[in-house]
Amino acid sequence: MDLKQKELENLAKMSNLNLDEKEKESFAKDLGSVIQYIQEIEDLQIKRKVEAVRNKNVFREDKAKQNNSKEILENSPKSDESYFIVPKILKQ
Amino acid sequence: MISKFSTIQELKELLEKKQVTKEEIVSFYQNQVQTLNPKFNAVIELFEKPEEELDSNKMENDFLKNIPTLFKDNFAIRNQTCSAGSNILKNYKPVFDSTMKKRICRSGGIILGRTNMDEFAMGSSGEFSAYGPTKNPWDETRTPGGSSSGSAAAVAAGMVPWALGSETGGSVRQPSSFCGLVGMYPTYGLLSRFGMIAFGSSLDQPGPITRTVFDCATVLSSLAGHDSHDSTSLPEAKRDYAKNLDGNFDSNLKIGVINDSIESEGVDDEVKKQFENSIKILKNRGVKIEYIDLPDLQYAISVYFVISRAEASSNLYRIDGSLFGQRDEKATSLEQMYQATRSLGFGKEVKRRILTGNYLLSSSHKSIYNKATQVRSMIRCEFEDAYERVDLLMSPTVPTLPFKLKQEVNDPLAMYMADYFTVPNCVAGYPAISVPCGLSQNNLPVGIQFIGPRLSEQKLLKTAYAFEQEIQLNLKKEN
Repeated sequence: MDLKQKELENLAKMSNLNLDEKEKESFAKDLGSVIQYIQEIEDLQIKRKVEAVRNKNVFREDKAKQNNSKEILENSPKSDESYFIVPKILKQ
Repeated sequence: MISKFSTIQELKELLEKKQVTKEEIVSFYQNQVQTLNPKFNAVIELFEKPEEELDSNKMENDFLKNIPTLFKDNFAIRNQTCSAGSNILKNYKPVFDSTMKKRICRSGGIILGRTNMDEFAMGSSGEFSAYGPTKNPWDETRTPGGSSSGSAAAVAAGMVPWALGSETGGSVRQPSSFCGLVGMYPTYGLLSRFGMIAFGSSLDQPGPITRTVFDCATVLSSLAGHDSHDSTSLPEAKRDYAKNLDGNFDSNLKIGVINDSIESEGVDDEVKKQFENSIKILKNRGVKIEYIDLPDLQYAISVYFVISRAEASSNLYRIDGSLFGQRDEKATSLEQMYQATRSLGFGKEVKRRILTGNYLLSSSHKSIYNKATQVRSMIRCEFEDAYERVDLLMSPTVPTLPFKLKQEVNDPLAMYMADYFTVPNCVAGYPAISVPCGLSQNNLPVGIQFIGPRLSEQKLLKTAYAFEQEIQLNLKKEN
């Protein structure tokens, strides 16, 4: 059972990925077979449950910590003194 | 004398007796990397200047004093490239240190460089690295396993006495088993994930790859302990895990053999043979063996699959070229920039997992994600029940011998099934240790694993150590 072409294209869009035709074909097949495999858990009767994570939420004091924003900005593909620069998102 | 197969324990003894200096050790292993790496492609970068803590006030203990290591390429070291084996982070230099880096350096450890890995730790053979495949030092036509492929191959080849890996569903234990080494997945939360590039956050744990169980315990002593930077870090006190390794099994120790280990058709005959031999050895030493059916574990692969892909697609969403890493500069809109950057930067397996994760998290399919979290707790229950009857469980680490290069990459489902024995305890968050148990007819390493209850590391190490003494294998491989 291959994944439908339209569904895969929608997934690619949600994932911010451009796929070429070859990738589309191979992913539709791979995803289809794997998704079929995991259906086995869908109809399982759950007998008993224990909490998945036993950790308690951890809070810290609401205090500002020193950060190295200058370094972080310099480490980005494009920035000026205090901003990350990305292509324009607002139309004029 | 240092030999390329020296253990941490041996090196510490040489240092103590002043038979060797720190400088000699460092240059010996740097040399080893330079000489051997062209053959195996285990190391991506040998740092110009090794990473170490030079401020003696910051030292916390000397578990790893003057012991060199290599880091899997997914742990942040300030101002060193950290690419997770991916093109998209090829030039990424973190501005902070991971907790693992700090712990190792504050134990006196020296980090020589970073090792090859499957891209974003997604793979079981090392072949999904943007830096090309790594070869298994035992047989160069085979993979060292993955995703900690370079870390395991580097130790097996004698480039370092130990290396750091990370595991989500077998990525430390499986390559350790394929390379004749000891590898551990600790209780989820025992080691801090701070500064480790995330794959599946509810499963990810760093893990040591060493030659011996004693060394594994020594490294764990340096790495473990609470870290306030990781909200899932457990409030565990520091301890010396090597302290009570005496070569004896606990009296009345009862180990459960997971029946699938012997009954499943998927287990290679050679693996089965070594595994059964291991059971015999344990019995001879008075360990009680009980055969146990754990039928719910068969769903662990599916559960792991759903949870790890869902978490991976969320974790990798932030990697889009805007804040760090590579960016496709030609794009004229933000959306185009994200798409072009990610399409060029991610490899095939990573894309496959992102797509699967987003499929599973989309509103029309979320019932399966919710189901997976329920089955996850069911699996945990089954482990808990088993630990009321036995102290530890055991199985082969991997059902097969090391894969031939290019054997598995073309069949994703077959590749995922190779994680059959390593995935269940990760899903449950329970610790396990893989130990070499013998060699196949054509001289390939086979490993078994002991799986324990939550925070049973001391018992696991004690048992694995006693087993290792008993096996007395010389798994040191001449190249």
